[in-house]
Amino acid sequence: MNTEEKRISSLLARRDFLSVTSAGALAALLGREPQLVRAETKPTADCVIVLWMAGGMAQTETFDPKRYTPFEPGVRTEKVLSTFPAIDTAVDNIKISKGLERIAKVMDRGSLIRTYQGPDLGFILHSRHQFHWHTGYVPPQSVAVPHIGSVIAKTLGPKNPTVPPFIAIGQNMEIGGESASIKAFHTAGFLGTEYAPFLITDPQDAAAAVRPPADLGSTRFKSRRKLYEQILAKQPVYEYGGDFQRESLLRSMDSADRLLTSPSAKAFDLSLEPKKSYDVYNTSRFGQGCLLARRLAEAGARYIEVTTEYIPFRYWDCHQDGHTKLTQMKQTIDGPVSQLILDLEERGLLNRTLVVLASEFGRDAITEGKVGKEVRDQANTPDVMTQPVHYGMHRHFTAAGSVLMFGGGMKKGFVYGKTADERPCTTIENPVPLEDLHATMYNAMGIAPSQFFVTEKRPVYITKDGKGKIIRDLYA
Amino acid sequence: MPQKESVAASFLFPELNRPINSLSADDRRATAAQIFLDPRNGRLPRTLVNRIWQRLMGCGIVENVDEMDGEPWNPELLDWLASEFVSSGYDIKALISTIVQSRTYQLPAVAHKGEPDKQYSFRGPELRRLTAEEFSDAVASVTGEWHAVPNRGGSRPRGGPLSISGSPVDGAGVRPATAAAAPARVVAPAAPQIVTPASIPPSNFSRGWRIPGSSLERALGRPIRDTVYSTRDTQATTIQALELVNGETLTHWLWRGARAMLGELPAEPVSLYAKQTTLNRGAQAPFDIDISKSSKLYLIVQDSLSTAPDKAAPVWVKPELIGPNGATPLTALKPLDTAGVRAEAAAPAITGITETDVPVLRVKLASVVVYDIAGKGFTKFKAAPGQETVVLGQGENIQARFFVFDQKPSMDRLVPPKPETPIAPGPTVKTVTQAVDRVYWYALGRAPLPAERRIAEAALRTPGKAAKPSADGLADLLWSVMMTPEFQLIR
Repeated sequence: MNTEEKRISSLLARRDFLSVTSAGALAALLGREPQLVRAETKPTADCVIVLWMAGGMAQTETFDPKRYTPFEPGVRTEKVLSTFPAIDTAVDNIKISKGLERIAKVMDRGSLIRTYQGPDLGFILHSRHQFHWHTGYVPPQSVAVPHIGSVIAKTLGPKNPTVPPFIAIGQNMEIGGESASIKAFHTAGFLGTEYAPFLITDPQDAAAAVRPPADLGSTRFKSRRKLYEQILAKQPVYEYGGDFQRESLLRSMDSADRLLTSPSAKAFDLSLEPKKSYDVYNTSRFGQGCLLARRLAEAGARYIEVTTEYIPFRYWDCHQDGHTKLTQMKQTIDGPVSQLILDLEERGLLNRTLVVLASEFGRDAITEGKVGKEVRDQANTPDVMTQPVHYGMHRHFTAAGSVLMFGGGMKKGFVYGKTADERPCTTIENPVPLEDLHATMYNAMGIAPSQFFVTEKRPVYITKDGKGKIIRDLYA
Repeated sequence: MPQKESVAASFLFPELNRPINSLSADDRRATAAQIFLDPRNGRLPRTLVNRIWQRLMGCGIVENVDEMDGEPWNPELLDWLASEFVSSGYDIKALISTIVQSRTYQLPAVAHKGEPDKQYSFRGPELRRLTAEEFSDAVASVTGEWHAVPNRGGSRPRGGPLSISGSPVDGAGVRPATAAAAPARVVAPAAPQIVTPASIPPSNFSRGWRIPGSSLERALGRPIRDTVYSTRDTQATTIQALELVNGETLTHWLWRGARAMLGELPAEPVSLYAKQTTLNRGAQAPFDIDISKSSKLYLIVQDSLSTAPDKAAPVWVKPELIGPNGATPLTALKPLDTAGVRAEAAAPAITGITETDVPVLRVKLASVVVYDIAGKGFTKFKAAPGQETVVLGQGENIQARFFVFDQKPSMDRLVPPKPETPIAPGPTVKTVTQAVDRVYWYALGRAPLPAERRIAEAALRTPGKAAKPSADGLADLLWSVMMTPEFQLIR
């Protein structure tokens, strides 16, 4: 050993460093290929549409109505369970909340889960719960975990090669303080950008995403492509010619070109929709998003998510004046959601398309968080309601929430789970944690909940510990 | 992964464990730092050195860089670099300098052929793709058109309830004497100094990494800051290509870039007034600006990350033009285009202003309203930004930028950046031949082959104007060259 070697050896103790045994069993599992585990049952769906009620949809004001108490100054907050009366639906034993009359009419096409239970993450932050819902993992994570849409896109591949497999509609990524957490789950993470969401913030702009840029125009777009091909053809061939990076670069250019020039591109263009149909959906950006989702499902997208959009204290996230705000939110979703179901049915797509309407948690007027494990309140709720702004479900409730599932092999006109009729209106039968909900969705797509990916030599399961339970009762 | 029982805090490798003084976060962190830096622990310097080697060479000495218990293909090299790194006091700059000055780094690049295995033998740096930020910097340095990072330094003024009359004039921009006479200038206005109101400091041209990622950079693999990514995915994907082929970001960049190279970018006038403000906090200070030489007025309002943009109802409060015959309300004039104007309403209530019947010009949150004031002899324009009183919920705010220009503004540069660019732009390109040479030399580091020159020159020529290159043609040539593997792969 010369001096230099001695110095290194004493300084760094390389032998020790290298003698650390590698994780033998997992060493063989290098790379990022999914360890495909096929579902035991045949897939019942080949496309998923998630309708995301961002901000915490109050279940007692929507799909799990309880005793209605009208507003009058002096009413005790603890008495108020629902601020809307219940209405009948197409199914005898299912009642939902007033303001959702059109969805009520299609309740015979789907299943209603009333006992979704959010995780206990301590002090409640919407974006953390949304991260959890969309990835199955509680943030922060030491690996970049993928969105459920990326998992499905990666595992099943595109349904139609000219349509991006995972399309996310409606969420603006710059929303102030929680922007970073929102961006953090709109990602394919370690699965790679190939499976990242194709983001469309405003459905009206969707057509522009697949149309030549305005600055360019279609004539120049074509001539530019021709120039590119000529320049490429004349470039000297280097010794690395034929290399896979070069190939993948050229291939990606070709597939982009194929998408832009394919008939599928028309699916993005809402102006091609007949006015009558457009008007039903046109309640809001969310409504237009539902229409876009239908067109993309028809064109062959694999996973589509439409959000009412999360912005702190907006939309479903009401910390005051909840009754008024939810009246508006229900107007926003009632027409588009029901029309989406009817349109998919009419086109023969509902059987193979799983539509899931969900939210990160429910709401309550009194309880913040979980029953018995309450956390710091985030809304000032007086004991007695004196003004209309006090009237509503202003706290975050994670012990029960509603989820709708239509099509894709789910039962029709079915309710799963039971909640108490008195406060706290918590789950009393058949709780559904996220991993079970995901397991049920994955299984419908032919993916077993025990599937995992290996990254950094460790398995990352698509449901918690690979043990999400499929809720077989929900399958028709 | 199954969670069964909790274990006491300790390091992964028991031989390096140290007692922890207490379970406080500070003590645990301090102990962890001691373990990492323990001379018996060779992992920290090796891991760092390996990562930097991998960044520069494309393939780590231990590949994969996340799994340092793998077999290095050259253990002596890893040890030597690590020990140098430790003796230099963990000097990353010195480490990079050592690597890039080596003959090893300067060898020609070779193609990556799948995962390296035990038989891996070093033949040269791996061919790798430009990262997102490198791509951005490359586009900027070829065209001379850099992006600017907004200067958010300093505290934003907080508005309180102010009385409209008698409060100090705030936010009026002082126009540099040379700006009006300055010729249409490329990237940076030629003005020696630009004085902008304190509330919107000038932005700075910067390299890509300083600027929040655009959709282009995100598509090219730039990760989100607060998610852990230890390596980047550099594979080309369809979404990426869509962004390159179709994205507004690159298209618009090259539109400007080509014009910057040709010296044809439209002039970038400086605002007479610029103000960034949170409108719902109270009344805004009025301004009083000199318009004696102006023939048009451009009144611009832009959103500035409001959380409730749909509740924004911006107004220009008490807008008045002062002329030889006294004050004329702005609303007495008809704007050239009414698209940015909201319908008049009877006496709207204005945030922070107790007076009633205050005359206002109601505009949209994003609006450009233009008035022709030529030949009317007005010398002053007085107004204040404002917002109609609306009910805002918890966490909702309305933030906007207000500008007044008297020349057609460049919407990309309402706030002028400081003129310095990270790399000085090349001289203006005058002929087709110069343009082709510039693109090939700057983008590819070589002269075009004769066949390439023919194609490229044909794309730049406009019939009838033989010598002068067409700006659109140049943008298309830039794009075409930038899409080729020769540009995007680092040799």
